[in-house]
Amino acid sequence: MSDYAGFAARGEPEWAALEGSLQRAREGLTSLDLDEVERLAALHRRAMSDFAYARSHYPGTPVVPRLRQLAFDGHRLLAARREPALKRMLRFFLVGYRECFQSARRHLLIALAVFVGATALGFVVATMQPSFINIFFGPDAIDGIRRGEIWTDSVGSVVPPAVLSSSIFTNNITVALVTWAGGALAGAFTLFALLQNGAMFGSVLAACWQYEMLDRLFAFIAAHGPLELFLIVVAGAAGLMLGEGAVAPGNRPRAESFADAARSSALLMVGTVPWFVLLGLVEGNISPVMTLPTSLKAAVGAILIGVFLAYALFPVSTPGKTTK
Amino acid sequence: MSQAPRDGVGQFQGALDVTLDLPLASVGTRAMAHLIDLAVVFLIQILLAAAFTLAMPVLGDDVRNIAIAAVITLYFLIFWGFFVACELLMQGQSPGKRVLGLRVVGRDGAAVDPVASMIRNLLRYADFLPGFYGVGVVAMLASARSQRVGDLAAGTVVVREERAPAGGRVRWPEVFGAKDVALLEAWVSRAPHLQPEKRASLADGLVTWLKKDHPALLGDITQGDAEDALDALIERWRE
Repeated sequence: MSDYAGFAARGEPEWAALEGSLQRAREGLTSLDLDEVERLAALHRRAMSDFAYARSHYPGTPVVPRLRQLAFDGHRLLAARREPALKRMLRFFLVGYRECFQSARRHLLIALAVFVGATALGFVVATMQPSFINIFFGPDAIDGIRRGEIWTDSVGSVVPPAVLSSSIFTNNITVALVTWAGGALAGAFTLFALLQNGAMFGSVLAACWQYEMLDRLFAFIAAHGPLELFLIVVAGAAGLMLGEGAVAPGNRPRAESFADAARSSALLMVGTVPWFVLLGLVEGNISPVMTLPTSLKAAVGAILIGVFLAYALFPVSTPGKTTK
Repeated sequence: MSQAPRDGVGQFQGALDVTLDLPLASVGTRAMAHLIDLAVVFLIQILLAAAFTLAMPVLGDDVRNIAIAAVITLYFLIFWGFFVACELLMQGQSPGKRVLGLRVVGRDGAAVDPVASMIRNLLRYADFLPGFYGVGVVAMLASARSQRVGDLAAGTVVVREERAPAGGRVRWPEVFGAKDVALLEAWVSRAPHLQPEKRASLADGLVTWLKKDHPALLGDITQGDAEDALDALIERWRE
């Protein structure tokens, strides 16, 4: 028997046992008892050492790929950090998100400034040059505004609230996700999205002002508008954070800075999702009801954004280590 | 991954400080896997639409509106959540990745975690720009570990797993040393792709060597074409 055949024959029973353990563990580590987990870890260490030996002494032989796969499967399983998903999610929404939001203050202020600036610009340009609004809306919507109709009048009467709510929140979450993800391209697409949304909003304000319909516009957007616009700004802040991580790593490796920015900005973005769902319900059920007084809708809007800001800005008390 | 990256190989620090080196998935293989996944997503959406269409006439007005809302929400969840759900449930794989033997792993070689999976899949949008994964393909070709932007952000790599060859493993006789086995393994994996003349001359050389060093193994198959003799011999050892 050659040296190699001896190695393979000696190792075989252990490798087969590890294969079996890994197979069982695939059904979930919790289905293994403590003894078996310890045995698996021991077998895995043996396989690691066998792999290192085989790689340098028996290159090209079939035991090398086999041991590599075993070592990899064991490593993936044993190195995984497992925590109940529900507990993690709960902690994220209770603590993690607020930490994220508060440490993103600079990006939030920049995104807010860009959005408000673009809105003002859109308003001024559309007031001076009414055809500016053509960039954003088709001729039908604009003709409607001229005739004194607003597209929001028809929305609520045609589409049932449940359908309206779901299409609104899926659309808004998509806009927010795209605004954030576009930040990976050096923040360029995020800036574009903020400018575009701001200019569009500004030009709608201008058009409604010119045709004396601001009151009806406010009647429609008062309940959901404030928080919805703010959440788009939050998504923009997340995109800017992502772009900054890619463009300005400072004195850290770019890959590391980008990955860190991606993690914090993704969390900042994802925390807005439940709020978008809530806003979708408001926009589908309350906003289109034109019989409700605007003051009541404005109160709902103020409460929504107030609750969100209170939640997000309430100081996080972290005794000792910060959790993420 | 503490070592300097080698092109085309993902390296992870494992137990006992042994470096695990796994081949990285190429752009082409990943594109193939993605096409399979898109077909799966498409199929799910068609089935959903079909089920919905069949159910519509039976439902009352109120239920119908809720059903439309549910379908809109489901489409949205499938669009943004299919890959995250697959990667978490299938330990870094998706249907396409499983077919092609690919797997997403974290930067330490561990299974991809929920946040990382979310990041790499939500950032798919940035990789897709300006169309057909333009940014993603350039990023994969330009980065040392063949990562698209979503992978760079999530700190994940896509590795290729090694599976047993289609014909099953060969149980080499125990008299063979490691070099002999490596030589014959190389023959088995490469012979089908060699030019006929090259293959014949290599088979000739291998049979001559076997006749000289291991005459007992050859037994009765010493006559005729060297290539056929070698194939017959290996077939006998196949498990």
